[in-house]
Amino acid sequence: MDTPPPTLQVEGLVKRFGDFTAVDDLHFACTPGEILGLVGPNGAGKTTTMRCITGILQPTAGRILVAGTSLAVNPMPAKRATAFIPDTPTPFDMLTVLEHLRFTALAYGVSQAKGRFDDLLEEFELTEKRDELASGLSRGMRQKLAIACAFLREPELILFDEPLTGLDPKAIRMMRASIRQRADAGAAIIISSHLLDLVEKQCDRVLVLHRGRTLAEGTMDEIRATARSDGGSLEEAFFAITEPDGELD
Amino acid sequence: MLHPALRYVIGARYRNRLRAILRRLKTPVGIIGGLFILAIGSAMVFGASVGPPAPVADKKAMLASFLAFLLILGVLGGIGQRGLLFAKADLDLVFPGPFSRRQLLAYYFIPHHIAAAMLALMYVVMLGGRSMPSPFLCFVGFVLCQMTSAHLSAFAAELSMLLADKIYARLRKTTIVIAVVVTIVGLLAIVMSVGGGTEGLGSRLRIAWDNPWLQVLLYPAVAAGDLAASRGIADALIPLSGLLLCTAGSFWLVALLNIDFLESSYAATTKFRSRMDKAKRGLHDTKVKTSARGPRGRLFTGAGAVLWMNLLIMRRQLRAILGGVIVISVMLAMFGRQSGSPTTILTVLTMVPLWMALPVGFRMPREQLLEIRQLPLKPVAVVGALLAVPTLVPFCMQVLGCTGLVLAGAVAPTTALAALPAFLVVGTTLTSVEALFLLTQAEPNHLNFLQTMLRFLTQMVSIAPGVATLIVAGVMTRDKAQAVLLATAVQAISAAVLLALLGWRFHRKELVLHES
Repeated sequence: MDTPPPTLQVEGLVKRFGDFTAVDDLHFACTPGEILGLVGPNGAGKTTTMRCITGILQPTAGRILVAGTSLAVNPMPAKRATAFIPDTPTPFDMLTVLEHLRFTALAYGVSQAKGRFDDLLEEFELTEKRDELASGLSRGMRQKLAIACAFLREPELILFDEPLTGLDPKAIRMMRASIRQRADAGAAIIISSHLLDLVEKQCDRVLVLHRGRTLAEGTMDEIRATARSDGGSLEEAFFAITEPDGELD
Repeated sequence: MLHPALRYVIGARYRNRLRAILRRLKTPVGIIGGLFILAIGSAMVFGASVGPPAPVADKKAMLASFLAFLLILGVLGGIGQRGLLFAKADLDLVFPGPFSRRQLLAYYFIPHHIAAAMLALMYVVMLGGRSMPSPFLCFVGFVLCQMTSAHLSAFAAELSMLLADKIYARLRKTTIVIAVVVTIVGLLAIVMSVGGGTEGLGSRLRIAWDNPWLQVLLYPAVAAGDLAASRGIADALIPLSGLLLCTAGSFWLVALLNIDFLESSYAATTKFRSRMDKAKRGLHDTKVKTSARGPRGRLFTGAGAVLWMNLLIMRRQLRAILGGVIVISVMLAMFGRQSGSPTTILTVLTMVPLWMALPVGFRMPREQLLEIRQLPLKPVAVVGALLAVPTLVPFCMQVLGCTGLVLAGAVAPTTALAALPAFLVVGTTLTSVEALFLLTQAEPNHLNFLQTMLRFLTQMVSIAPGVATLIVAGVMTRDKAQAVLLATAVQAISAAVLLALLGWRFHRKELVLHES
């Protein structure tokens, strides 16, 4: 069977802030329907990588291709194909929940959007809050709103930065199912998280970053093989890779 | 040029903000605040129309100076920011969106231009603009000058993005120095206009504007002044054309520099918003490299630890506080020079605690206050420890001010000595009322105008017993020192009641925490 062309292709990505190198020569790809986990300790360069992919940060070197389009050369189609859900979403204080959806529909030219508003509000349990200002929403509700806005436009690439932060157990279960559903529908998904259990259960492949560099990449079995921890959890493999000299309890 | 989605966001923001204001006006606090703002507005409208009208040339010079002040600060601010400032939500929702550079620029400028129109309207309705030969042309000139200022500020920000880090660091220092000098000169001009009448200031500014260099460098402000003073179409044609050219030209400059400003603006906005969040809590940006040693002495055990913590915060905010103290001192000195009356000077000095926004005591974040409340300490001691620094620091400043006044011969030593207990009592009252106000606020915000005004009003009411006693005793005894002492005693009782109320409020009532 032919492998579909990757939705996201990152080639030799480097991002420096002054003398500090946040991301150093990163290469990876994410294909349609695939869920890629981005793991690494604080300061590994996960969020910087994601912000480079969204076009907010300019790469110092390297190339990012989204849906076959270079982000640097032709940013509009690439941005249209990408959705980014930050770890602490900040909605417009003075816009209601429904107005956020309307804004997204207008911004990304979503056709037949009106019919989907109610479904998404229902799916993310925001129906009762539809006419409330976002400033009055709890952290979890804001997270749901950001995800609803992202899902409204059915992007080809979805980037989640700590997607489960602030969610209650019911919402976590719903979110996990939702992410899988989007992947099954053909979206390429990248999840950056410190919750290794989530990554292990949810992701098809994992990229382990440390100080901006790739330490390991592959399926769960390949990561375990790299860490020489056959049958162990991702957590054990993670520590074996990122702290090879450290002792595990 | 503006993307429909961005137009929608701008429209919805303003619409919802207006609705929120109208909704707030239905609450008791909103009604009081609304009436207060209305009173201030009416006073300004009335104040602008009393007294002999100043010559048009003087008013033109004053308007041009004010706009030049904003223009200079705008450009310097642009250099200092090194990025365009957006809303926090824009970083998540607009920056990753499929918007072109020009669409984002239009989105950035429109709120600025709306704000410029609002400011111009205020100037025309409430201040000198109404008495200009053509208030409409005054409005147009004001708006166009402010639009040019916003464009030039963005252009300066874009240019600074192109500079290497080391060169920019040097430029930034110079910029800050110039900005501080311009601000102080501007403040002094305002103080002089308050104390000595606008007529003298207007003629002095008119002479300053004769300088051809100033006329060229600050042309948009000069043209706005000329437009405001023009008496017909023929008069208005040249300044209006000049201003339109400036506005369009400055926008063209911004658009011409094809810089991707997203990254710089992302950094600048994040930094600015974090500073604003701190400022809402009364804090300033500060960097700490070493930890302080633990305090020595029994004073700093138990509730004394809270006092030590407050002193530590004070020490770390010292630069900003000293800056504030210098500005207050300069303004007091100028005011004192203009008024000359010892009673007026001492009255103004009594109000120092109102102006000193120290980020300690009950101004600390709600979460920290909750932690302090849970300490196993006597409520009275905790409240005392929290109030000590915000009460005693302004008092020290008042003592210094009094010493200066005595040394300068402006106030008699006995009068100054009699004033000291009054300072302390009034200071305690004002700080206690502020603390009570902060505890009852759902979300204290030191940058919220309405909250600040309401607090100010309540503080004024709280010193009414002392003021009333002073007036009555002054009339009955005709002995100033005796009247002051009596008023201080009455106010001390009032302060004691407030302290008890504060202790009860802090320990017995629930403190609301807001999820951010």
